[in-house]
Amino acid sequence: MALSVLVLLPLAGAVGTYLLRDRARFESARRLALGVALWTFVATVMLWVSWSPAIPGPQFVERWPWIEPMGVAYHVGIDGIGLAVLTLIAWMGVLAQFVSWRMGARAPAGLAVAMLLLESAGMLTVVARDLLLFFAGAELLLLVTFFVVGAWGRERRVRVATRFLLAQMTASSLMLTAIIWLAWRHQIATGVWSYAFEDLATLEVPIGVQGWIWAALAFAFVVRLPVFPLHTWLPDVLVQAPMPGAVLVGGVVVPVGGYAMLRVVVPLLPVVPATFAFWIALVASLGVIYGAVAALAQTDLRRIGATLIVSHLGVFLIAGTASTPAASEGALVHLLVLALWSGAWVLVVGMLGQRRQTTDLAEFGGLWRTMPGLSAVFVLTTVSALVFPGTAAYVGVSRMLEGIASESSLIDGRLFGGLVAAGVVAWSLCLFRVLYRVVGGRITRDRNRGLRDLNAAEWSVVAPLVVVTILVGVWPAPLVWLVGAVAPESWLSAMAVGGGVP
Amino acid sequence: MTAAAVVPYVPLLIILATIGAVLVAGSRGAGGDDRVVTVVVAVVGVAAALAASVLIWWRGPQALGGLETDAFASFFDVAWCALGVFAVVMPELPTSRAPTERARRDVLILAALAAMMVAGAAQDLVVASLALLVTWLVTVLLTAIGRHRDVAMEAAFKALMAGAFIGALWLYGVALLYGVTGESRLTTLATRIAASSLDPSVLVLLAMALVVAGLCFIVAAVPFHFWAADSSSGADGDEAGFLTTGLRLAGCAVLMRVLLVAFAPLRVEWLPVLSAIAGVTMVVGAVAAVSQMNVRRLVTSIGLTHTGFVLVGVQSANGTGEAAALFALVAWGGANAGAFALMAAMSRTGHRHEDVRDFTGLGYERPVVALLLTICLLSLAGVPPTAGFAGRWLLLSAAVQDGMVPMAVLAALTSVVLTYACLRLVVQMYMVTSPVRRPRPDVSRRTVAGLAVIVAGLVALGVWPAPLFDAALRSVASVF
Repeated sequence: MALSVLVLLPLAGAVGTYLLRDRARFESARRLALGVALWTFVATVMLWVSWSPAIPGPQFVERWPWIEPMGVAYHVGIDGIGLAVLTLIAWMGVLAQFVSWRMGARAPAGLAVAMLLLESAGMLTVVARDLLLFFAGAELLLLVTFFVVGAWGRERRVRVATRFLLAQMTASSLMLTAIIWLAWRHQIATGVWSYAFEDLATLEVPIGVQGWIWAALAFAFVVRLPVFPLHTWLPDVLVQAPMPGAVLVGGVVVPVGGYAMLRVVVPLLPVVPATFAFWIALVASLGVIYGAVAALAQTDLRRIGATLIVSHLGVFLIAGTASTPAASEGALVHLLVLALWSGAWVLVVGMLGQRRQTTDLAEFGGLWRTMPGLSAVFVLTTVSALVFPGTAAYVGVSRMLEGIASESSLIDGRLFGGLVAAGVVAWSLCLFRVLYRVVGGRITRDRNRGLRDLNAAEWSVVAPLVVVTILVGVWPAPLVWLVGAVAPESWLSAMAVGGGVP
Repeated sequence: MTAAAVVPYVPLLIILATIGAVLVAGSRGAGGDDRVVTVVVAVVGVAAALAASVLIWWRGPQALGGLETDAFASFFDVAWCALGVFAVVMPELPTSRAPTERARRDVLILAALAAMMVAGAAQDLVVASLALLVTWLVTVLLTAIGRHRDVAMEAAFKALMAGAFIGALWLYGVALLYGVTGESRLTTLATRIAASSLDPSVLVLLAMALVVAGLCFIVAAVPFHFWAADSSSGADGDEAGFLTTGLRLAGCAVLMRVLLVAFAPLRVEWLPVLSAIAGVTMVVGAVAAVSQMNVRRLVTSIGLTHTGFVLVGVQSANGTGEAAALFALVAWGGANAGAFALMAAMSRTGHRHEDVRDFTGLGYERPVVALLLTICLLSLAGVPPTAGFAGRWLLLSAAVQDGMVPMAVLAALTSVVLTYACLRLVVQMYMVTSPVRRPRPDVSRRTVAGLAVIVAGLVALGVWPAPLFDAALRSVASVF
C-alpha cells in the first residue's frame, strides 16, 4: 500500500486544494498544498526506514488486475535508486510549493494544484512496473507540465508549452505503438497479453522488426531526455516556466524521464549492432560540445543553466549506451546530481531575478559586496557543477568518462572520452565566466547596490540543497553504494547496447 | 407469437408509447407548470427504455422474431437511451420558446431514438437501411428547427440534398443486392455471397460499394462528411450534440453488422477501401480541426478523426477490434455530447460563444465550466486518465494485433495532431490573456450537474475501463 499512498497523497491534496480555490480561502489552500507536499516528503523518508538493501529487485510490490483481457495490471514496486528518485520528487515538490507562495496573480490555487498533480504523476511513472501504467503516468506528467508552463509561465509560454507537448506526444505516440506491439508479441508467444516489465524485457523480437522497435523507443528516449539535436524544448521550457515550475521541470520531469528511460525503455531495446552505438555516441558527444559552446555564448543566466543541462545529458546518453557498469552507475548518479543542481540553479537564479527583474549576465557584477549570503550560495552552486575532484558533478562524470573510455564494444571509445572531456573543460570555462561576471569584479550597475540579502525563508529553501550537493561531492560513497547495491548485474547488462542481453 | 417474443421490443415500445404521451401532454398547450410535464414524461419514458435495455442486455441474446435484439443491439440501445435522457434533460426548460415547440423537439428526439433502436436491431439489410435513413431524416428535421432560422434551414437543406442523392444510390445498392442474391437477411446474404466468393460478381461488388458509401455518409466518413459540420453548426447546441453522437453511433452499429456479417466473405475486397477511408478520414479530420475557428465545427472535425479511429477497429476483425470500436464509440460519444452541451449552455443567452477566441480566459471566470469542458476535450484528445485514452489504446492494440502496424502508426501520429486541435480551446481558456472582457452567460446548476455526471463517467472509464470493455467484448461475441 505504501507506494499507492505516495501516489494518491498528492492527488488527494490537489483535489482538496482545488476545492479551496476561492480567493477568500487563498491562504488555507496554499497552506494545504504545502502541508501535503511536506507530508509526502515525510512519507518517502519513512519508506527508507522500511526499505531493506539486502533484498534485490523491487520492494513494496503491489499487483492488482486492471484490464485483464488485455494483460494490464496495476503493478507497482520500487528499488533503492527509484526510492532516491521518489525522495527527489517529493523534495522538489516541497520546494516548488514553498517558492510559489508569493506568486499567485492569476489563479489563486491553480498552480499549487497543478504542481501537486505533477508530483503525483511523477511518482506514478517511477513506481510503475507495468508498461501501460508507466505510459499513462508519463503522459500525465507531460500534460501537467504543459499546463504549468503554459498557464503560469512568462511571455512566450503558450508557444513554448505547445511545442513541448507536441514534441513529447509525437515521441510517446510512437512509443505507445511499440509497447503495444511488444505486448502483442508476448500474446503470440504465450497466449496472453502482458505489459509487465519482466515479461517484455525478456521477449524475443524477430530480427526484421528490431530496428523499428529500436527506432521508436530510442526516439522517445532522445526527445524525453532531451539530447541534442532534439533538445530545443528544454532551454525554452526552463526559461519560460514560472520559477516553481522550472524547479519541477529540472528536478522532476528531466530526471524522471531519464530514470524511466534507463530503467524501462533501455531494457526493452533489443540488442543493436555496435555501429548504431557508434552513431549515437558520436551525436551525443557532438551534443556535449555543442551545449558547452552554446552555453559560453549565452548571456542569460537561466538559459546558460538550461544549455549546460543539455550538455550534461549528452554525456549521460553516451554512458547509457556504453555497457560497462562504471558508465551506467555514473549515469544514474549523475542524473540525481543533475536534478539537484538544476533545482538549486533555478532557485538561486530565480532569487537574483526577483531582486533585479532580469537574469541578464551583463546586469550583474560585484554582488559579493552587497549580498554576501546569496553570493556564497551562488558560488557554491556554480562550483558544484564544475568537474573537479570534490564537487558533486565530478562523482558521476568521472565514472561515466572512465566507463566510456574503457568501453571495448564502443568503437573509438577513447575518442568519445576525449570529446566529452573537451566539453567538460568548456563547461568549466563557462561557469568561471559566469562566476566572475556575477559575483566578482566591481559593481557596475547602480541598482545592484542596495539589494537585500537572503532572508530566513530563502535560506531554509536553498540551504538543504546546497548542503546535500556539497555532501555528495565530498562524500559520494553512500550514493555510489546505493546505485551499485541496487543495480543488479541483470539490468546493467540489459542496458548494454553493444553488449548482449542475458 | 408468445409473450416472450415481445420482450426484445419492450424498449422500442416504451419509446413509442412515450412519443404518444409527450404529444398528448404537449398538445394541452397552456403555460404554467404544464411545460415541465412533457419533459418529465419524456425523461421517464427514455429512462424506462434504458432500464429495459440493460435488463435485456443482461439476459443475453433474444433471437426471436424478425427484428432481433441481441446483446450487440442492446449495448447500443443502452447508449442511445442514455444519450436520449441527456438530450432531454440538458436544455433549459422552455421559457422563451413556446411549450409546444419544446414538445415537438422532444418528440423528434424520441423518434430518432426509436429509429436508431430499429436500425441497431435490424437483421435485414432493407430494414437496417430504411431505419437509418429515417434516423437521418429526423436529425435533418432537428437541424431545421434551430433557433437561427437562416443558418438552420440552410444546413438542413444541404443535408437533405446530399442525403437524398446518397440515399438513392444506397437503396439502389440494396435493391441490386437483393436482385442478385434474392436475399436481404444479413446472415443468409453472407452464405449466398460466400457460395460464390471465389468469383464475386461485378454486380455484388457494385452493390456493396453503394451500400458502404451510404453507410459512410451516415457516419460522416470522408469523402461523405461535408454535411456533418454544417448540421452541427446549424442546429441548436443541444440538438447538435444529440444528432452528431446518435447518428454516428447508429451508423457505426449498422456498418459493423453489414460489413462483418453480410459482407464478411468479401473482406478481401472491402478491406483496402475501408483502410483508405479510415486513414483519410482521420487525417482530414485532424488537419481540418487544427485551423478551424468555429468551436462547433472544431468538435465536429474532431469527431471525424474519431470516426477514422473507429473504422480502424472495425477492420481488425479479431474480437478485440469490434469491442474496442464499441468502447471508443461510447467514450467519444460521451465526450462529444458533453462538449456540445457545454457550448450550448455558453451560447444560450447573451454573448454566443461560437469562436475559439470567445473562450479566452474562461478558466478564470467560470472555473468549473472550464474544467468540465477541459476534461471532455482531453478525453477527445485521448490523454490519460480519460476514457478517450483507453479507447485509443484499445483500437491501437486491435490494429497491431491484426498486423496493421502502419495503420496503427498513422493513427498514433494523427492523435498528436488531434491533441493539438483539442488543446487549442484549453489554451484559450487557461493560457491566453485578453484585454477584452466578454460577457459570460450563467450556466445553471442543472447543466453543470448533468455535465459533471458525464465527466465523472469519462474519468471513471479512463481509470477503470475493464467493466465497459468486458461488456463490449460480451456484446460483440454474440454477433461476430
